[in-house]
Amino acid sequence: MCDYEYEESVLLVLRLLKFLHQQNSAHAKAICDLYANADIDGLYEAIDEVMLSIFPGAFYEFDDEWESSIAVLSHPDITRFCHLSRKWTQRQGYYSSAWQGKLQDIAGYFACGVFKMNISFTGDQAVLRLWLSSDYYDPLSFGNSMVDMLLYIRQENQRLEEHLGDALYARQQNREEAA
Amino acid sequence: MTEFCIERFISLLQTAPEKRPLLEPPKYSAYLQEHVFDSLTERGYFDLSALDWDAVQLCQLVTADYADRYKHMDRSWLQRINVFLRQTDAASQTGRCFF
Repeated sequence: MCDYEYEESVLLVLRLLKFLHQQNSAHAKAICDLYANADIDGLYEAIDEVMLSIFPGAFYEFDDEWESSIAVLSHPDITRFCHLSRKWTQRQGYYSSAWQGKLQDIAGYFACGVFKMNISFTGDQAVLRLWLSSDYYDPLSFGNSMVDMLLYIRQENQRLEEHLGDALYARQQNREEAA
Repeated sequence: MTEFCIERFISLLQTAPEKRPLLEPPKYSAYLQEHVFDSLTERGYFDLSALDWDAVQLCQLVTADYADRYKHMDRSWLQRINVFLRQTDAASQTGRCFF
């Protein structure tokens, strides 16, 4: 858009910060104050902190077998997706875990620089474990791919809420007609 | 296991949600030009704490070709589905296929 050599890096760091600002403006402000007057290298240093703020409770592990870092992530939007999907499935009158497979597909589609993935479910809580490739992992691409994933999941949550709202309204109408 | 019902399958396909664009189209921001890129060019840094986050949108914070990375994913997934279908043993199906 602006044809600068560093344009992509700058824009993508700012994109992570903008997403954090929408989610938690106080956290975003704290990071911006910490990295005020940042040059390109300074912006790169901020990425990890931004990611840990976007995904509250996120942490990294090391896998000795694969000699690779693992990002362990969860997010309220993902929890909301699990809750709505489970509710939607139950409202259809059957139990299915297909929505868990759907979440795996979504994460697999977006996750960038990841060679292995595992999602564990506890109730409506999903925890993503992403093995970061030592060859292809780039924190900026990975961070933005996770933001894209969350934006997509928000779309899905909105769609599910609309469906659940419709289903609730239809049931109320049926009850009124029956009465 | 629930039996496959072709009528139900077709009706679900017909009610599948409309495909929404994955990302908003990228847009140019004069604000970013002035407060970020001009400052970086002149001084080598910019004041991150002085940025007005309400003056920029997410779609202004990507390059023109940003969404192309997912086109590659679409192609890869379709290729994978094709491979999977080619490996499917037609003899295991109850009906005859093609011949």
